[in-house]
Amino acid sequence: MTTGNKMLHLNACSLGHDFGSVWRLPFTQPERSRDLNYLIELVQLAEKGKMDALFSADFYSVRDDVDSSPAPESEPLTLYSALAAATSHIGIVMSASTTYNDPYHLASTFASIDHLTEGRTGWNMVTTAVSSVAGNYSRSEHLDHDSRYELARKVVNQVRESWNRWEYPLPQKHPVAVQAGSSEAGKQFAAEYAEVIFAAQPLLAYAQNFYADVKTRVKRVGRNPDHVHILPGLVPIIAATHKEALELEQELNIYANLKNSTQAVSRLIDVDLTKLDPDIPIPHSILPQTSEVEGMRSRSQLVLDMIRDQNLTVRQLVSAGTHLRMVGSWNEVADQMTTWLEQRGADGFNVMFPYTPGGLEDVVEHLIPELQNRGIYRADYEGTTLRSHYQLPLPSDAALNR
Amino acid sequence: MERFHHSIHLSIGLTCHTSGLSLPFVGQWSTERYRLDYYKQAVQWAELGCMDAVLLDGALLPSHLQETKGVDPVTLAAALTPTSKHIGLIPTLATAHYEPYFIARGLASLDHISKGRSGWLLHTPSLQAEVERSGELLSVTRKLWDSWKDGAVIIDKEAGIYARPELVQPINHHGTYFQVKGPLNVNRPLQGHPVIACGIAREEEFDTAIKHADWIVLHAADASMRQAHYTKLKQLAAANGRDPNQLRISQLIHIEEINNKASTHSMSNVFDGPFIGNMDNLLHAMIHAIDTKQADGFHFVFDHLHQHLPSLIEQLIPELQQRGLFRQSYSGRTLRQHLGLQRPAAIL
Repeated sequence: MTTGNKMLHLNACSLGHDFGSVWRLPFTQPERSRDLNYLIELVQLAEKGKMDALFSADFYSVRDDVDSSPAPESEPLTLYSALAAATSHIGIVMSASTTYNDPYHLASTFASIDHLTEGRTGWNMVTTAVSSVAGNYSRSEHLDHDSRYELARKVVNQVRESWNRWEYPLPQKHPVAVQAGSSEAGKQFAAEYAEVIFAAQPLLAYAQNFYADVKTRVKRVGRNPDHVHILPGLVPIIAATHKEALELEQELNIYANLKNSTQAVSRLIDVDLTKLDPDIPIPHSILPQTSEVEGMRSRSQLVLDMIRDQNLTVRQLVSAGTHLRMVGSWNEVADQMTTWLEQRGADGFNVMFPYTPGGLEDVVEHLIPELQNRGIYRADYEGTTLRSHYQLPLPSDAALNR
Repeated sequence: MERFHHSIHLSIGLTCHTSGLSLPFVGQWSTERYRLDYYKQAVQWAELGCMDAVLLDGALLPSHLQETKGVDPVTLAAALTPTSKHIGLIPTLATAHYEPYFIARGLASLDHISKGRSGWLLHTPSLQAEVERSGELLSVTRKLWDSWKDGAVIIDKEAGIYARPELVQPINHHGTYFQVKGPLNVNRPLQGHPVIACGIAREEEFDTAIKHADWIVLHAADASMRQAHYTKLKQLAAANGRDPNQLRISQLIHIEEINNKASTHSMSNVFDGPFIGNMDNLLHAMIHAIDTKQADGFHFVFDHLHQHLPSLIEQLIPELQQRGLFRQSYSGRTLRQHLGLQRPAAIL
């Protein structure tokens, strides 16, 4: 199968934030994580790599492990408005919760940023899975999974109606609609509303199923599947040679805390893994067939399937994480990315840099040129709006006349 | 000069929304106002003139989603940070639509990315219920800013300690309008708390303003009351247990036209309505207001921003500087330092 002229789309996820214990390594700069000048250097580098968009997650409560983790974060609507003003082409995708924001706030903020950036914004419509947020937002309880998606539909419709009535139309009419949950309710919501889908898909076979499932749902609701891109998270651990990449992977794990990670994954799947020997395969008998975890249900189900499918030990499971990792030379990883594109596992990737700034520099200086050589990635931006980078049309007349 | 301990304070208003203003909206609303360059140029002029701050007004809407125009002031303030270096950026927020957790995060972030140049232009509501809600909102927001104490983040790579958890505490607020556990997920603002500014026109608003504001912009229609207002506000500050020297009061000047005509403009009516006159009239009215203790500074709004702001910067400000009334360069880094306001300690 060939890709024809199918192009790979790449987002730069959470620039400046190093995941896990990586901040402790000598080549990271956590003390600069809130320094706007540093973050501007990073996003301008991503723009030099002609990446489609910057992508920011969002959190509405403090992490449990403030002592050992690089938190707190800046609020993304504010931070990314500043970063947008320091760039000229790259798109800006910001997460904002439909559960914890007033539709007025969402409509006016995204309309403003789309105007001020002349059409470079996207909204990642999240429903907020973390239940502790309710306590920070004057709510007596956190809405259950399905109710959150019901509310999301209502809120997104209200916000779109508000944009349709904007005194001076938004440059993209509607900012690009992005979605990130892959539960049943999440997939259905994505099929109806999303133009870009961010997924946690560490295994090609699973990713292909997910891809086919979502594209079928998109068709079923009467939309064009080519106008919906599926971008799994990707952690590229790359170097000049395969051997050096393996060494880098080891180095990145030096400070990984097996105990904390095991506790975190135990919470995620609601199965206690902390008492197991970390180096023998996890017994399948202790795992529920179907996850009944409120909140991150799709992530939790994926982890259960990964354990069963790959017969993982606790150590293997926690070091792999729930996102796709590609470890190898620049050339090898470019080949793997091409395979995912050709075999319909992905339309591109939400790149999560294993460390910054070096992990980003390697992608821009070495990996992206490999992708350009393969003819699956732009040599330069062809337009100035995020829709043009993603090759997405303006919203349909039906959507604009609501 | 003995009379002046420090520079007067000068600011401009940029209206990014046309409805529900806390300060009067002037000028034409055009599609130009959706473009970042419109605001960027104005901020760069103001910074060239060493002004204290730009107030980004608007978006105080009575009910959500009914008003579908304008540019969100917080978003705009953030977008203006990379192209400015010294000047304060003070957006307003439609507080009815926000939970304090968001406001505390957004403004703390703005303070970090601007390196301590942020403020919050507070709306003084008129209905009693709104006054109560707004008071609680502000108090919760301050508690959230203080939930990360100074020095909490240490980033010790060797020991693997990012922050000291004992300096990061929940606030457990249980109020009438808000229930907020905390702590915030953004570090304490560089300024401790962003500068709280407030535009007021009526005496009924004094009580609310004096409780919360570091900086008050007066736009009293009643000319004879102006000096009385200044004195009364400073007294009220003292009566509320505040240091009156830690409260700044500016008079609003609405510039409609600046010309070269000899004019009969009297000193007092410069502040009364749209100003039409020459630069000399303006200068002497301002000096008179300072001498007679009517103001610590002046806040300008314009009918024709890009025409008249450069005139002020090129003609009025050098005159003030020559007289030793206004700074010739920025001596501080943060907005609080420009205004001579102390950095608040964290509430325990």
